[in-house]
Amino acid sequence: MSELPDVLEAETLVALREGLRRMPVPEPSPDFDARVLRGALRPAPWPVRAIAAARAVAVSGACAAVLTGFALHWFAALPQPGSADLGRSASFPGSQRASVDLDLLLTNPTGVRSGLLGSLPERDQGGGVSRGNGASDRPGNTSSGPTSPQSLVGPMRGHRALRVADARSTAFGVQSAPHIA
Amino acid sequence: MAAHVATCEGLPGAGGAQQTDACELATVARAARGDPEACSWLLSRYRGRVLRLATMILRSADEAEDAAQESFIRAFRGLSSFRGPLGFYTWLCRITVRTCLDHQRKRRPPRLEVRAPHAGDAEDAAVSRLVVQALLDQLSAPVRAALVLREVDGLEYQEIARVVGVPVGTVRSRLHSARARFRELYLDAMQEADRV
Repeated sequence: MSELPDVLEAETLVALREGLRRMPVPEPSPDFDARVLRGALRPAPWPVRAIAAARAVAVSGACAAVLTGFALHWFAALPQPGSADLGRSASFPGSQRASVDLDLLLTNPTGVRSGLLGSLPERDQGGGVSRGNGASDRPGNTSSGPTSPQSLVGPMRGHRALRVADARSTAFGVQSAPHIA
Repeated sequence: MAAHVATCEGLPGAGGAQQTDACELATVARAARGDPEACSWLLSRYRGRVLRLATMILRSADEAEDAAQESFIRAFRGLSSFRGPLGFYTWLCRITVRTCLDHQRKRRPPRLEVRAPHAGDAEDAAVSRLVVQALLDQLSAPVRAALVLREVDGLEYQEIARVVGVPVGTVRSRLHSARARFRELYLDAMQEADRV
């Protein structure tokens, strides 16, 4: 009994296909092919061709303008070498910004003075340790000039960098002068 | 070129579908370069199928011929945009369906042509033909196109979806509904014929 609906469905499907195939299709007119060929192979009138060419040029120009705009915007957003803003971004809050500063400092120790480094101790001209905000812990020292590379590297590389800086100062009689901006 | 066309015409059935497709693609490439012989070969091969599809969609012989001509002209002019994987007939069907839908939009109200069964038809065949006519009148143009492409031309659901421009699932469900509707109409018609 369960096969009856299937048989009925198959029968109706066959009837549907037969009915569709038996549907009358008009005979094409004798000049059907000739008219099609005439229409297809005839060159398009010059206004149509001109519009098509103009459209191609306009689309190419628009694409080029958009790409140039993106490129200019991207170049303008790049930080300049040695800029104080290198690596600073409002999108890096707190500890993330400190991590960015540390990375940048390790790769470019002379070019960066920012963020976390401002609060790290630095060596002043007298060899003492001063606060990043310029307030020295030694009385009489009011140095707040540019930071030397040693004092930047010092906190990051630990005591070794400090010892190297001290050794150079002692050996050559040169203090860790603010000769590097 | 004449030899090439003659070779292509001898292919179906003997050389297999792949060889036929390769030959057809070569002919399409020639037609794209403006070869009238290649265009004629494509016309002779697909004229009947395109005309039938247009007739089923538009339900008017005169409009169907106009739409079929316009479809071929559009296709030959746009052959440079034809890409092989879709298949030339599927691509041509898509153009035909769009052209027919454009014609249908311009025409208000639709003209319906109901024909009496031919004298030579068997009774069941005549009933099925009339029921099919009634069914086609009830369906929308895209569903009519999908039905013809599936049941007469044997296109896959995915190809029909590309032609009609709807998802495959929509094609399946619409064709299922159309078949169910035909079944209702057909059973009613058969019962009525038995009663008479």
